[in-house]
Amino acid sequence: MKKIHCAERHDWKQTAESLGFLFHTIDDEPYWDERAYYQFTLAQIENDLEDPTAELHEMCMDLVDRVVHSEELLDRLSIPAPYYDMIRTSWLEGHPHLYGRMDFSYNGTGPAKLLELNYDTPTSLYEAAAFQWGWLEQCIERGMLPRHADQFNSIDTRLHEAFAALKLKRPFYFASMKGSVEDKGTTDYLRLIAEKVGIESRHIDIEDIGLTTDGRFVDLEDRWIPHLFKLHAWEFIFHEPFGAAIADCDTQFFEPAWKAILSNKGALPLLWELHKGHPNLLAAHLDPNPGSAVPKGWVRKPYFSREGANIELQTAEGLIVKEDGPYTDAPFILQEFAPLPKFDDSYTLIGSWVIGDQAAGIGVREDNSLITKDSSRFLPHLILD
Amino acid sequence: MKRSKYVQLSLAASVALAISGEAAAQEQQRTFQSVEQCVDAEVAADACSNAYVAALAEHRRIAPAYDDKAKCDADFAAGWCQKNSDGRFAPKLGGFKVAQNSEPAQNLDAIANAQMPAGNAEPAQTTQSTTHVSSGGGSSNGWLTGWLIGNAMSNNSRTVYRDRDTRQTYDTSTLNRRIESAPTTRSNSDYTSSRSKPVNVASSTSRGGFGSQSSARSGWGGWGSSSS
Repeated sequence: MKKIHCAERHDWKQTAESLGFLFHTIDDEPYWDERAYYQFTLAQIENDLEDPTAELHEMCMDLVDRVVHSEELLDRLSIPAPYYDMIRTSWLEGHPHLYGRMDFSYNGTGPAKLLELNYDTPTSLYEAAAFQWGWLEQCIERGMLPRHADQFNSIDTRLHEAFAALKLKRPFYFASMKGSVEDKGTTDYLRLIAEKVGIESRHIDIEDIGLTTDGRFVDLEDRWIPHLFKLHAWEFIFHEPFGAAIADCDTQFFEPAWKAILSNKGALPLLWELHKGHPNLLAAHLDPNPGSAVPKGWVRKPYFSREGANIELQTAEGLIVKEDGPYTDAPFILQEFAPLPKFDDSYTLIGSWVIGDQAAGIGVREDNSLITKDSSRFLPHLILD
Repeated sequence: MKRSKYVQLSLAASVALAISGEAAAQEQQRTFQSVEQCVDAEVAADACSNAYVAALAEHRRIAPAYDDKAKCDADFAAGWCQKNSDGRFAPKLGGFKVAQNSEPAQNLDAIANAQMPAGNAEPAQTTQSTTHVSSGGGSSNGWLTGWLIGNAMSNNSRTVYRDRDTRQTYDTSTLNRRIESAPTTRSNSDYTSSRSKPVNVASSTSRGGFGSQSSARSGWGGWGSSSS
């Protein structure tokens, strides 16, 4: 695993904008960054990332099966009791899922360490699946990279397969929050794939979803929403007015409700308890005293948090790094600190995608801090031996 | 190879439309015997299955039917005829044509040069028009198209979902049965087009019941979304 500086394609911004990838720059800061790429060997990809991702995913599925059968475990995850049945049913009846992303600390040697699971509302999907792929294809075409360079990236193909396997016959709605260009990019991308396999698709903003008096979710024209992809976390939905209407409604939700178990950082201590000492897992347990200082060599994370919010860590040397945020109303975990590798002045995180039940590809993000935030940059990668 | 052969590159369907117009001018047709053969020839899987579905529908409409197999074989190659569901014999579909440029969006240089149609930045309802199928192949065949793509794509690979013994299959779930058996409209939420919306419909629908938790947390250093 090496970071290699390279020339940008002179016209990449024009290409990005023509393709509708409009969030390549966020608040005047680069988000898509092709001034460098990460190079992996095939062995690093297959042995250290792909295989562990597949294995961890199976451990996660096994964990869901255990949790839905245990009210004690559901309670430990701070899932509200009125939703136990809905989550259990969604798992036992096999409600299908589409995707998830695992974040790893990995520096090219030794086992990749699972930092967290983004199994409910992961983003950075389009840039990993499509724009990164286009970068490699075009750089090869233009002679900027060797012909035998490859990439761990069958995300798009797997998504086509997953959507085709759903065999949906009625319209599929894709919902994201008003005003989020990035989230709309993710749902538009998924929507276009759905269309490609013959599913009729429509967009709706999450705030615009309606509920009729007889309990049916509808669009702005009061048309039934039979299938709904919601880029909106279950832990929010559980505390929103429409949450209670889901169990008895006739709308199929993606991701399904059982994903609430895995998107919750409380799942990390459970995984550790079940597989203590697994090379890809970090020690983790419930934080008995979140008001106290974080011990040296540990990270404190809230059950529900995104983009690095409310995370606090202390390195082995005693350096404290902390991100404030709004997620203060749920329990916290303590996780063994696995520092992100540093390349130049940046800390590097690997996002490993699971589509359906298959490890399908990676995306690399860099941040200036040990905590990866929404200000991180996305860099392309390739495989070259 | 550990990467996709083809990727849905464009987020803006309007761009795909602009490019397909360009590509249509230089369109060439190729003939295939099966969807698998078409996919193997590096044609986009949806273009292959759309073309196959359309060709099959056309074939069923125009193929002659015979009361016995010998007569059918006499008019076509031996062994080429098969029994239809109505008990009569008809020749099999011989092949189907696909436009050669049915994956125009893969050429990034073409995309970079394509101009966005002015004032038309909204994604269109469908991207089907990026493929060129000689006869029909409309959305009524969507399920079959999806199935064909699923089969063609998983031909050389593992399937994307694993079977889990402890779980029911979704097909038999209460949710699926509810969706399958549901009427598309209900008495108090009749289908309304945006052009002729009865005033009393909106009163039975409440909105804003999703999204409030996420909004409550936005405005904190830019956490405006509910995703990660």
